Amino acid sequence: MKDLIMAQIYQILRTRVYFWVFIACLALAALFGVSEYLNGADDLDDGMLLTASDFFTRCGMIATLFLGFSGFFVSFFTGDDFKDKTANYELMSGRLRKQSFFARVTVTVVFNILLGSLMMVFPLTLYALLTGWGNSIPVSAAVTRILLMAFPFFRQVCFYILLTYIIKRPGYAFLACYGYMCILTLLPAQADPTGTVLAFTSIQNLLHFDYWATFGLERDAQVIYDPNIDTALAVRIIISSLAAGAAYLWAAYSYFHKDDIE
Amino acid sequence: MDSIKNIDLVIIALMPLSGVLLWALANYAEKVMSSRWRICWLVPAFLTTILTYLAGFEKLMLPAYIAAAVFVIGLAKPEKKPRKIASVTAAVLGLTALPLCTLVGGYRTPDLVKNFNNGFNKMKAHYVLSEEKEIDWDALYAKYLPQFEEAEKKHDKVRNEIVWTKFCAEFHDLHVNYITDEETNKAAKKCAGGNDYGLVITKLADGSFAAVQVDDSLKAKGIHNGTPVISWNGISPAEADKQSELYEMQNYADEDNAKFYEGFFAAGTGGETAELVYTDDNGVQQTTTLPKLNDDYYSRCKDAYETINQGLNVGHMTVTKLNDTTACLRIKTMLFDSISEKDDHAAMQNELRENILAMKEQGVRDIVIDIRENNGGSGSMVKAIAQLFAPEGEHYYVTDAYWDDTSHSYKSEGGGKWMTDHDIVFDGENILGDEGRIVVLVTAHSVSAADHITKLMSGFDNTTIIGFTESSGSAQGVSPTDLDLGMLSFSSSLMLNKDGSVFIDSGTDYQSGIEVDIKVPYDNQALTALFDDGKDYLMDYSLEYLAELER
Repeated sequence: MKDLIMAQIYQILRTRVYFWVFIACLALAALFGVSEYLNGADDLDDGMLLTASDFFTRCGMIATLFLGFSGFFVSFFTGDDFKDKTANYELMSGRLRKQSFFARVTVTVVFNILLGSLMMVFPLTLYALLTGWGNSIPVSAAVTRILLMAFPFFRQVCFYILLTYIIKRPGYAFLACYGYMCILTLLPAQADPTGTVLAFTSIQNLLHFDYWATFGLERDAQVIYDPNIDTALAVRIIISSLAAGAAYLWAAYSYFHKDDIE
Repeated sequence: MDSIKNIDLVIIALMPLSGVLLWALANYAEKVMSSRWRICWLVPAFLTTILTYLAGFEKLMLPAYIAAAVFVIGLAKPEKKPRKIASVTAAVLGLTALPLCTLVGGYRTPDLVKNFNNGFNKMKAHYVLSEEKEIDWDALYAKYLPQFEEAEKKHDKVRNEIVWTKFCAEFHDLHVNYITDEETNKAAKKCAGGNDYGLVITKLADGSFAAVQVDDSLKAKGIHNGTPVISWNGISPAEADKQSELYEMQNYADEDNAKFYEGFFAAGTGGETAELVYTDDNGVQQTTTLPKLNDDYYSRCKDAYETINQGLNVGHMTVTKLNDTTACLRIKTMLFDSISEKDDHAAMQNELRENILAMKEQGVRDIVIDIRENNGGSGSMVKAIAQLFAPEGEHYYVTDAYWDDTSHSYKSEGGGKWMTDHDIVFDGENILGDEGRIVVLVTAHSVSAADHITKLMSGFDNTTIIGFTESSGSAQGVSPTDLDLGMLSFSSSLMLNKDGSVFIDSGTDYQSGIEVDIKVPYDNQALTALFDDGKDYLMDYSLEYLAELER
């Protein structure tokens, strides 16, 4: 399976469009911060700088961007080899379906989780260099949440893998992934304090900070964020993400295992 | 059935429906070669996930969620037998959610104890008057936790509302409030108010008690508005009052205001009947047993309250001519519009100035500013209004407290004093001129920014504050916080006097830093005018006062 994984990595590194989409992801993540800054982000007084810690308290859009872009990478990483029959040739040359499936899944999951984390870290680093970290939340709070985000990212990527293995055409699979994400953002959903219903709601919970504001009659409002995350919520998110991700992979493999790959 | 959320019903119905369809499909799919039919066994799980995303997770719906997952077996095991077993199992499992949601309590109700703990901890961390009022948080927690546990045991949202309101009243701060929604709040007050026996008891200025809002059915017994009440169920109305849960739910920041309403909730206490001892029109003491008319004392009590307290029934921020020389500026809430908040109410001030000047051209000399039952709002609006009416020269309003951005807290200097930031001052315009006088009408529920304007204008030479009671006495900045169930709001931002002491709000002495210049006696004359003649007694009093004023 190792050589299949290496082949996947080689293919990814040699495909120029992946590189440019990857760069676009990072650029958009950073530009989102710029738009926050130019729009006069909430709770920032005139002349105040958008520090990295301020930025992290309002960077939910970056996670949404990731959900869109990861749909692209998942559907092409795992689905592109159906189109040119590479997957068929692998099986005809004596590879097991299990090997073919898990080689692609491993590469896709690892790449996308790294991409998601990088999309969070890159603009933060940029703003920390430009305007400093600030004192809205400590660095440790941001690091903890970014690490925890890996779990819902895993869940979402596994779901996209399931969609791709069912659809088997990368373009349509990407459309389905992107459509799914768009529909979720448009639907008038209830808040999910459990953080377990979807990867989407887990991410929302992880990027939500309880905050408190004080003000004076002629003094600007001060927003105080609670950087702590509820341990029970974190545990729920980890367990539900791993369980749901595993279930998606099981369903995807079950389908692929007995699929005619046509 | 109607108590189940529609989306949950759809999820439950989806299970047997999918069961039947996939049972039928199991027969067909085995005969055809295409593996694409297997996708159908994913559909219930996918739809259930989306529907749960829309409706929110509910623990009592777990069997339905599991049922949706059971269908997925049909994807992995494409044989007829396991697919049929999965269809039947999932259909049955899904249907069990229906009795669970309807018969077991707590459907879509958050954990009320957890909800209390959440609100309590937030308030303990951020309530700015803890030191001033010497709040014993541990004692409060010990007192109220069992009551929330009891409410949780019964999954009783109304009881939860009652207990929260009682908890809020402990702070003697009208900025401490909890509400789930209007409907639950009303149900809670109705439940706590007790039975209606056909009257409300009020305390008069001389300390005696009298019946008001009397039902027609009591007239045959000689009981009418103003009938002196001696006792209720064998005890004084003041003592009977304390047996009412609605009494415990009342929040007053000042002891004087609490005393004004002594006895107000007594006539809701009792069983199927209540014993009333009163003095008839001939001065003879009578005892009568009153049957319960219904279980809604709160409505009668609310009507009586409104009769005493409601302000002039005209539009918000309108200037209405009352007689040749006096007009009324009615301010129902200290909010104007969203634009005004951004321009420090300059446009609102201009509009008001024009209205007042137009009235002056018509001969109006004095203004009654009616802020009865004003529920507060913007300090900037207070400043803009006060600026117009204030005598010329600089006037001090309030002092912002110093906020330490490093420790994320206000800085106490000990002895009830806080570090100050800067004073807020303004220049008066004296729009009415030297001849003009101003009366500000207040009630015990003229709150927050209404307290601010009362306190501020009471310092003007041209202004007199008039009311049956003082204004509420709650003046700090308030912030709301959403809980899993309901919204809790409390004082969160410090407003100070020049010397760093707390602005207006009462401390342990239960006396706010606000007084009325003329406390109008709530006596038989007032009672008759209000309840029999339907007059606006306070307004009439104010007009009389202005007419007789020496200038």
